[in-house]
Amino acid sequence: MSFIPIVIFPALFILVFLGIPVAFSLIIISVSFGYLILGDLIFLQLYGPILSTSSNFILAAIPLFIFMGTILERTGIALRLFQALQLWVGRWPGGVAIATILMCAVFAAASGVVGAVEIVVGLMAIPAMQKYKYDGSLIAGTICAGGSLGTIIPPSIVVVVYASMAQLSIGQLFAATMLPGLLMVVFFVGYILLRAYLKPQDAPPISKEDNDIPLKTKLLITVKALLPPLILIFAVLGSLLVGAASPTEAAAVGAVGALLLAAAFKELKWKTLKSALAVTVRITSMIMLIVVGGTMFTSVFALSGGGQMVRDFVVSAEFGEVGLILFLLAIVFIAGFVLDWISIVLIFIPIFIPIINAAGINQIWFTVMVMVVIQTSYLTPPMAPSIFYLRSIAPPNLTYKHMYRGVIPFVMIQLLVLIVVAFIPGVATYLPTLLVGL
Amino acid sequence: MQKILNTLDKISIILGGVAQFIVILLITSMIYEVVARYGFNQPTLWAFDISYMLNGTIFLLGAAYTLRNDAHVRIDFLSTKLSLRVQQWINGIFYMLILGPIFTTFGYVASQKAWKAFITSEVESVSPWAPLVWPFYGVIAIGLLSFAIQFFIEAIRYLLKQNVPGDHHGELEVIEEFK
Repeated sequence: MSFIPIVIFPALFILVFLGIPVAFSLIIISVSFGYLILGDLIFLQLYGPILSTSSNFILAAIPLFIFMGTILERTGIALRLFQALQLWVGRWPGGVAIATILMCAVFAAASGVVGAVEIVVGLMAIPAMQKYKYDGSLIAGTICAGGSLGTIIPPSIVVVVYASMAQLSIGQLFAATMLPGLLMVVFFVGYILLRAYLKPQDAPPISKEDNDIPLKTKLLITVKALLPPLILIFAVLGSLLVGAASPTEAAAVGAVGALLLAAAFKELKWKTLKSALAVTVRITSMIMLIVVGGTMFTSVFALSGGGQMVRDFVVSAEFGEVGLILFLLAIVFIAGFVLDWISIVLIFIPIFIPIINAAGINQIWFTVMVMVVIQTSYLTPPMAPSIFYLRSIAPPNLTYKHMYRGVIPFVMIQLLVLIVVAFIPGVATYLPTLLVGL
Repeated sequence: MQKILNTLDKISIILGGVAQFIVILLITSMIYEVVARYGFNQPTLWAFDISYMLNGTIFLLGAAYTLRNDAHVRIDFLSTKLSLRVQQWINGIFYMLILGPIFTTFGYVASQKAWKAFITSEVESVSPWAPLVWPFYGVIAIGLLSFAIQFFIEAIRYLLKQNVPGDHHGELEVIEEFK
């Protein structure tokens, strides 16, 4: 059976690229190759991953974070926030684009899902930027990059799933991704400022009268727009990070907080609640089934001796620590072109973790680097969820070419953040050490 | 034929509805635990077990419903280059001949586990609450069997040219509300 670990990956990718949903491909491959090894017993064996995934308490935070995010997206919080941010940074070079990035950052911190956030932001930001004749590729790049922030800024579903696979603490990982996430936002904003300064025709300044209101009104609008999501962010992340609540409980607090906010602004409709619940069930089921498939795949891969084969390969390749990390991250980066984040986490990470542990590499540091690289998978075509979402709402004059060209500088910035984290591990590992005593 | 398919669909729709209700139950029980612990200094025994059981229930009862909405993520940038008919054949055959039977078998295994747990009154051994496990095992069995049925339904729809792979835009419905 020693051929199995070698053919199992190509077989998987054939199914995936035939358009069979990823979760189903993983399950089909696991059952059929597992059958070659164990015969009929494989069904009993692979019932294990179904049971263990269904009873994994870490994953119970997922539906709640999704619900919280979907409720927030469906309220007017986004619109108010965008207007308020524009009041402050709108006059800067590239101001509308900067407001877009900042708004994505706040939303990413208030919810764990990417995707729908991007649509909500895009629907407001595209017309605003086109009104001031921003360059198409800057518009597309800004919105895609902003939409990808949800992976790295806590709370992030990606981190929840990763933590459950690697058996790391969600709180520690959230703390670890915080500085790199902020750094990413700062770099994005810096890039836009620089580009608008060097090439003003890409982001013409907005006219003065569009933005001339008294300071008092300005402050009032800002407080009303910014305070509610900030309180929510502090309640959820705060209770989680100081250890007062488990991730699931913190997520439940966030879900109720989002409902209360929506109710307070009289934006909670029966229809909104119903569609949020339906979306929650669909996304939860989708994610959980890929977790099941990924766990099955990993266990069959291990049964067939694949884990040993990978370890032998790594030992014989004599990478050294730096080479090993580069090699693994390169796999994640390349996989990101053709796979989505959850498939990457579920297919590769279980294989990587023992290698990383054996090499004595700091798990949290490595995880954060993987998170940054996974974020690029949102932007790198052909499988680029960010671009798919943008395409679904883009006006005809915003073309594919704008999108593909537009994301390139932002992918480079993400890699720049990766370099920073790689050379200064403290960016990732310092905050989690503060949590230990609590 | 159409009538049978639409009737069988109802199973997934009803279970999906139950899953949506369970989301509310999960929120409520977690908030109850937080309030009991910090408000009344009386943490519950059951919150831990309930949280994963409810999440597992959302997942499994929602699986068929998610399949009905074609919301399981596909990587389709290559497959959409094939003709629609070929895509329908591929999906139809995989669903009918492979996935349907696989999940029927998993459903059978799960039912046996649930039945065994029921007659032996097995309890969760690592939990201080020690709940009976058969109700949860039973939910797993129901979820897997309904999932299997939905695979056969969707397979027939692909073969009858009624389904288009990747046609679902459910998560984008937010657009309509904002436009």
